[in-house]
Amino acid sequence: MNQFEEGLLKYLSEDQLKKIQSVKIGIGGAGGLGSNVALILVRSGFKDLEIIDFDNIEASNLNRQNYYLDDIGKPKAETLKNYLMDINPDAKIITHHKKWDKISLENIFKNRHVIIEAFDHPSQKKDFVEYYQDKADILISGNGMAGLDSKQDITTKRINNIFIVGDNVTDTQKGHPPMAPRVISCAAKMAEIALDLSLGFL
Amino acid sequence: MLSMKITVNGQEKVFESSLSLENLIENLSQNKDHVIAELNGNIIKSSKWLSTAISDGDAIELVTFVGGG
Repeated sequence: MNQFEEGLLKYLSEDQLKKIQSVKIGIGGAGGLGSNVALILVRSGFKDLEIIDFDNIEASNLNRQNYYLDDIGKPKAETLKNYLMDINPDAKIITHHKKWDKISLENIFKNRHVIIEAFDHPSQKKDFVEYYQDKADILISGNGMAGLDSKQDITTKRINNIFIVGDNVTDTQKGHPPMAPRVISCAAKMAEIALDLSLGFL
Repeated sequence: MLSMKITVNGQEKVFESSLSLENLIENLSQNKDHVIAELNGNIIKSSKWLSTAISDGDAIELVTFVGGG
């Protein structure tokens, strides 16, 4: 057990930490939602993550994503992995620097208990959720977390084993800018569901 | 045929003719490529929408994805 994990035991029982560490997580997308969900999950004790993202970091990502100026131009998935390993050096993080699509995923997210949808485009979100809903115990998806004027509440809607977190309305493709407060609160809620489920609270 | 009463996202709707899940989603959604559908507790993948008939009393949940992640 490393120093970080010893620190976690100030707040969690050994049994709780064991439960959390046994959960295998898959994350589709390492942008605003994905990078923040991953960070919160690793801080919460999760240490078995698989992440797919094809993108490289741009200056316009830094307003909400878990990256820094020196990271511009680097691949998101691998860069995120480095930050996660800085928190827990014993974490097992598998990354794929490629675009997710319905065809090329034979070996991606096999035997993951919890799969998190954190993509940008609505058609990709739909394809991903439809594809994985019967392949994981739990699927958590983010839907609507943009806008400067937060009149829309971020809620959780449960359909079977799918948890959809967001306001379901604000659309970055329709002029609602993705800003840190709402994106990160949506990501935090998604991570909270994974944590609660892992500890048997949901 | 008799009219058919179904529930979509908690709201009651009445249809006068038979319809498939695909018809219903085309009727109610701006872009079916952004929608997932649950029928009576089960997720129905889009490839099955056309062959899935809606019946009286069905409960349907539609989720429309928006951009941002």
